[in-house]
This record gives sequence, structure tokens and C-alpha cells, in this order.
Amino acid sequence: MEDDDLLQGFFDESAELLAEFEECLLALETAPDDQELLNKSFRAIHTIKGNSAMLGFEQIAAVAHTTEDLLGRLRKREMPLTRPAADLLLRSADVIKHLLAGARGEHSDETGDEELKQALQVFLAQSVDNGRVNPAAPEVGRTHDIHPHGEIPRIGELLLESQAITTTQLEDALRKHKKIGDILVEDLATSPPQVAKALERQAELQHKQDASTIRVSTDKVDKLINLVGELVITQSIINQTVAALESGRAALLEGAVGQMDRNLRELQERVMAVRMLPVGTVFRRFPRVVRDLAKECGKAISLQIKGEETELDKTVIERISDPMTHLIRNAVDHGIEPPDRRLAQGKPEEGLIRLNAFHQGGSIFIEVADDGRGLDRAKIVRKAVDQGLINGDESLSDDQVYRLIFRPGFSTAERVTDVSGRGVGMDVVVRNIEGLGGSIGIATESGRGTRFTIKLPLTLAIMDGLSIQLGDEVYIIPLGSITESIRPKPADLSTVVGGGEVVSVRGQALPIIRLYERFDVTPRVTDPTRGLLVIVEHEGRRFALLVDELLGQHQVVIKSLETNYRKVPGVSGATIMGDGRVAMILDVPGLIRLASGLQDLRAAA
Amino acid sequence: MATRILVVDDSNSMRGIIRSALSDGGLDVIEATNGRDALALLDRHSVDVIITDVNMPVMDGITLVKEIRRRPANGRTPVLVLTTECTTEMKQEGKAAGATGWIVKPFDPQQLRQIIAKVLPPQAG
Repeated sequence: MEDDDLLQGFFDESAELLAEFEECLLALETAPDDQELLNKSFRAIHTIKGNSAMLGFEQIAAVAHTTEDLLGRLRKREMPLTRPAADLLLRSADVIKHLLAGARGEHSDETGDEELKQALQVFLAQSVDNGRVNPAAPEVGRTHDIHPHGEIPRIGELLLESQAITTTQLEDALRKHKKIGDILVEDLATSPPQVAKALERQAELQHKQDASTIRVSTDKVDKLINLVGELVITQSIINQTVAALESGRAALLEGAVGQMDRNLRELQERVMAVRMLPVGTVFRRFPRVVRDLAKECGKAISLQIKGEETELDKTVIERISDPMTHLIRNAVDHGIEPPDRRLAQGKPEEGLIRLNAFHQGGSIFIEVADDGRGLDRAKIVRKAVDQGLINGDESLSDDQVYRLIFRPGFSTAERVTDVSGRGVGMDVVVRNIEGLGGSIGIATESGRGTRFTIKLPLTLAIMDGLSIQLGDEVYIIPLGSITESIRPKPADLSTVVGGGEVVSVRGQALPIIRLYERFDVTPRVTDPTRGLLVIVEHEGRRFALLVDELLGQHQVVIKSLETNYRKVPGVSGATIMGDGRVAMILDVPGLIRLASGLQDLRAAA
Repeated sequence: MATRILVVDDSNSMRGIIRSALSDGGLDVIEATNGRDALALLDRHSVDVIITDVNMPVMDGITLVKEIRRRPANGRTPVLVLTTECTTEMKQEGKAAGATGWIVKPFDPQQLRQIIAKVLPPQAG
């Protein structure tokens, strides 16, 4: 229905505009005279006003209108952007959000729009008396566009245009081979903020040029990805069949199949890429979270974000939002100390939280770091002993101790504050991340701070795996979890107190998991010295999986077991092999957890 | 030959609404998200009517109207400004820039179609 599309388009766009609006406001707090930010804020609300009026949403239009009046004054420099003004504007954004939710039929609480309008009007009335500020503020906006239509100017040109550098400086710099912005800063010809500004402008222009885009529903993209996945499976059946033909007779066919294979791989990559979005779409809401929470806790905290252009699969982005929010709230609430305590330690009064996202080796990493008090190892050990998670005389590595905070119910906060201790524990964070096929690491230094590193796969739909034989069945082990595979010698095997089997690998004793027992399969091999042990690792713990033999390494298309059947412990999905048979994909973290649980029980016995 | 209308507005949503209002057989609608792109489109297509917003990034609507009027091919092309702005000053600015008409949002779709029909030269195309 065309009207539904228009409405949906309005809701989508308004949500986007409100997010931009908030970003601008937060950016304005450190750069209150930035005309471009003021203009952008104005336009965001102005557009919402026009569109909502057009579609008959009178309440929204009314709130937007009054908010726009305030923004109009700010834009014309008739008023300064004070903290109360910013708070009021953020409140407007919230009210409009609520009204939009109401318009979508989501909830019908009191939205407080009448109070907000009154507050805005009172504010506007007050400011009229305060007179004009900066009446002669120079026009910083760009009314003069000297660049040929459609061509994005280069950084050097932009800096030259804003008179941050001279032509000679630009030419000298161009003779070297580093990035122009870096060189100019080094040569003291300009400053990092000015380069940053030019870069920003370039990105903005690029974005505008990229405006030949279309919105596509994720449903359509998912169907495409599924189809391509099916193609990949059929392709590998064809590959196998062709390989089995007598060579020489099928040269033309082999060539064609090879070509098809290459095309298919590229198609798959490109279709996957359609679902990728910059992680900044999730990061952008955090400045607000930090600001509000820090205020509530009476702390001063700044948030630095890097790598927001790093791209992730859309589903991963959606599901990483909650875990990240929890980590950030934790950092604000428990990590960063109150201002006076920081000063007493010789730290700057304002705490720092850093978010960083980057690609490395086929995975994506997201770091959440704070310069707060760090984790207290002794305290964690005490608490774990109290809770019976460990006994006091175990010698644990630092990493093993810190990972204890991921256990359910564990919290060493003095008081479980409402702020971040709402029953959403670190264990839920870990489970969410593992559910995405990722993992989380901790680095901490007492008194200096803590850093959580989340590692995620680039995509959820395909994965590199090692196929193994177990009886008549084939299983797939995610390649990322495997450290090595070995055929042990009798001397390497032994049993420990409690009945568990271990294998000695380079001096370390690793527990053995007999997969055939776990999955109730009749194996071809029960003696580890005649089979193979695949060593897998997760979060610092390593185990040895006993399998009959290794079959090969492939890229597999992950099919959900849950949607087709039900959730099965120890298995994270399934795939269809080249010969048409179904193979289960092992859930390594799950298996390790199950096995550890068994271990703990045995140890306690 | 179908009447071609150029719609310039930075809001996807608003362009959709305008397009919907103009969804009458015989109207070919092309779009731009800002003044600069609009001028680039005018380089490549001949256009019978231009509808533009005022508040846009890169180039505002009034400046766009002035730029349009400077182009020999578009000296007489009907240009309608479609905006929430409704002050006398703004309307005068628009007129001085060379706008043919000023339509205030929210607009009535039927009215928009009537205005377009009115500003088109007797034989469109």
C-alpha cells in the first residue's frame, strides 16, 4: 500500500533525523559556535515539522514547531546554546520520540508534550530580554560553492579554501607521500582540529554525492542471501561431481564450473556486503547514554569514539547494542571513580571512556575501555570463594580470575545500584556475544582502568569450518575455535581424580571430551591414540575433542536448527554438505561449558 | 511527451509525499536531494516545472532559484517553492529571486496539482 510506505518512510526518516539531532547537540556542547551543526540541528527538526504536518500528525508538528523556534534563534546567534537550552532540546527529542511511538501505535503513556511546549515558550520568552549575542558573527556557512557540480574537493583544496594553509605549503606537502592532513599538521601549517573539520566536510560531501541510494527491506536482502547460500551448496555438489569425472573428458565443463565458482564467491561477498552497516549507527547513541548516566552518578565523563565507519552485518549490529550498553553503563557506574577520588589519585577529574572498532584478520573487534579504578583481583577471588565458584587454594591465572566476573550472579559492586544492576548481569552480556559467534576478553590494571575487547565474526550466515568424521556422521567445527589437532601417544594420556581423562600437550593437561558420548553416535574409533584429538579453545579454556578423522576445511552456509527444528545443546546450527547430507555445526563454547560443569561437579565430589 | 517535474527536497519522506501527490498518469517526476544535484540534473534533462524546498544542506532553496534563473534554458521555467516558511519577508525574497509561486506546507495534493496545471505553458512539451 503506497500510504503505508509513505508512513513507514516518515517514521524511518524521523528516527534518523532525531538521532542526527542528538548527535549535533552533543557535538555542540564542545563546539557551541559551529554554524554547520546549528544549521543541521535546525533542519532536522524543521523537516520533521513539515513532514508530520503533511501526514496529519498535529501533535508532533506542534512540538517540532516550538522546538524549531528555539533552534531558529540559536541558528541566528540571537541566543547562546547554554546547558539548560541543550537539556531542553534533548527533552524535545525525547518527547517527539514518544509521540512518534504513539503514532506507530506502540504505547500511549503521557508524553509530556504540553509541559514541554510550555517550558520551551517560557525559555524563549526569557531569552528575548537578554538581548542579542554576537550580532556580528561572521557567516561561517558555505553559500559560495566554487567546485564543479558533482566533484568532491580534496582535503588540500578544502584547507586552502578555508585559508588554513597557503598554496606553497600545500605544494610542499604534496611532494611527500604521507596523508596530506598529517603532513600539514606536522609542518605546523595547520592544526588537527582544522584538518578534522576539513575531513568532516569531505565526508559530508561524499555522503551527499552517494545520495543515489535506495532503501531495501532486510527481508528482501535475507532472501537474496539465502538464495546465494543455496547456490553455494549446489555449486559444491557440482564441484564434487565434476571432480569425480574422468579428467580430460570434462575439460570444458571443469573450466566453466571453475568460472562459476569464482563468480559465485564474488556474488556471495557482495550480497553479504549489502547487509553491512557502519558500527557508528550503534555507537551514536552512547554519547547520550554516558552524558545522562554520568550526570545521575555525579561524575564527569567524556566519551571518545574511534572506528565508527567500521562495517558489520546488520543483525550483529542490532544484537551488540545491548551488551555494549551494559559494558558502558558499568564503566560509568563502577569503573570511573567520583571526581574527588580521581583528583586525590592525581588523575584528571574527568573520566575517559573509549570506544574503538576495527577489522583484523577476518574478524571485527570492539573495545570498551575506561581509565577508572580497574578490577580488584583479590576482591574477585574473595567473592568467588564466598559464592563457592572456586576453592581458595587453587592457583588461577589473572585472566582466569578476571573471567569469573562473567559467571551468573556475580557482582562485586558494593551496592547493586539500580543504574546498571538491573538483573542484567555480565553473564547475559557474554551469552549475547557468544550467540553471535563472538568472544570477549578483559585487560585491567588496578587503579589505571579496564578494557573489554569484543571479537565478532564479520557475518552470521557463512563460516569457515573443519569437517570431521564421527561414526557415520559428519560434524563441522568452527575453524576459529581450533588451535591444533594431534594424534596422542599412549604416554600423553592419563586420568585425573574424579574420573576425567586428560591429554598432555606441551606440558599442559587438557580434558578430553568424547564427542560420540555427547551425541550418542557409534564411533569408528574409541581409542584416542587411534583417532584424532582436535584441540579447541574458548575464553582461555582448552579442551580436546575426540573424533574419528579429519575430512577437510570448507566455507559452510549456516542453516538455523532452531527455525527448522529446535535448539539442541552442543550444536549451533547445521549445514548441507557437497554430497547433500546434513552436518551439524558444533557449539564450541556450549560444549566447553557443559564439559566444565561436569568437571566442577567431579572436582567437588 | 510527458510533463517532467523536478522535485528538490532533502527529506526522502517529503519527496515520497510529493511524488504520491503527483502520481497522475502523464507526469514524469525526477528528484534531487539538494540544490547542487538539482543543477546537475538540469544540465542533463529538460524540465517543465521545478518544485523546491527552502531549508536544505549544501545550497538553500532561494539560492537555487537564483541559480536556476541564471541558466539560459531555465529563464522561464516555472519554479514553485514548497516550504513551511510563510513569512512575508521570505516570500518576497523568493519573488526577488525569481520564483513563480510559493506554496506553504502542509499542502493539499489537489491544490498542488492545480497550481502546476496553471503554471505550465498552454501546450506542455
